[in-house]
Amino acid sequence: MSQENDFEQWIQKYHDMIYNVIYRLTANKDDAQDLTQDVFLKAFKKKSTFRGEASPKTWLTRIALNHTYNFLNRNKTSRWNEFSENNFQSKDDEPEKVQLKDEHLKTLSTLEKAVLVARVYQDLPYKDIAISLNTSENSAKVSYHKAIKKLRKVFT
Amino acid sequence: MKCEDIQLSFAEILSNPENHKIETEHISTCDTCREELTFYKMMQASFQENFDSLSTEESLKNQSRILSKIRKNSFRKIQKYIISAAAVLVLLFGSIFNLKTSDSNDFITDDQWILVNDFYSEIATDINDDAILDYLTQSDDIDNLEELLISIN
Repeated sequence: MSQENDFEQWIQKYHDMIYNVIYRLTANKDDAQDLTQDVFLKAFKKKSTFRGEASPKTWLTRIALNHTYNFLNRNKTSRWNEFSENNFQSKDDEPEKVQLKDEHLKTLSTLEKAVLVARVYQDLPYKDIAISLNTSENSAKVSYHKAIKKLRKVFT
Repeated sequence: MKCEDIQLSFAEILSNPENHKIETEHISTCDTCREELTFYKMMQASFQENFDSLSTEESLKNQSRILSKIRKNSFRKIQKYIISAAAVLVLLFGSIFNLKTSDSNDFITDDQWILVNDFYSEIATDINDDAILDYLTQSDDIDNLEELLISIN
């Protein structure tokens, strides 16, 4: 019971953060909610393996990245097309900002997008990203570099 | 230090500039890195702002869904333990029972055992019977003991 109570605190504290990471990757509210549930359930089952070497936030983010990345890979064809026009859309009153649109993000591979979100939105170190996405640190760096290069092309 | 290395480390540099003095100095003098850093910061802002976040109500709803799933999962786990324990007990008792019956099957059933006991106890009591002794002394055919016992009964 106390294990459940401890975990309940984690849910309260990190739910929105995990949801936001997933939502930035899926751009679909329903998927993001379902995947957030999956991530916490997975984390609860694996909690005995959490040794406290990383913070709970980093640990949960790793699980979220891995789970969402696998989900996106499984649904490669459909998910990217479901990006709402409202997501990343430009606001006329803020022309100086980088306004990413779905077509910009479509140019990125799933790996590139996952690395970009983990890096730019979550400030996750490459080492953690590599573990989460079952890839090497070098591959994560290359993917990040490629993603930035592709997006830079769009905006210059 | 290469520009590329610095551009790969913007997250670390921004979160802890004190520990990245060499990098921050480089950025202040390098136009390319400064431009890349500006782009990075704008992207960061775009990621922060251009998504709808969950309302408190939606968030709490999803949290309670997670909790109920966890509780269901825990209940299932307990159920599994109970079923496994029951199965082990059934197997244990089953094997003990089977051992007992298979022992009996291998040699003799309980009923047969009672009969054998009776048979030998009869011999023991009747063996001293003078009639038997007489009969045995008169007859060399010890194989007729069974017939003798039947006749005594």
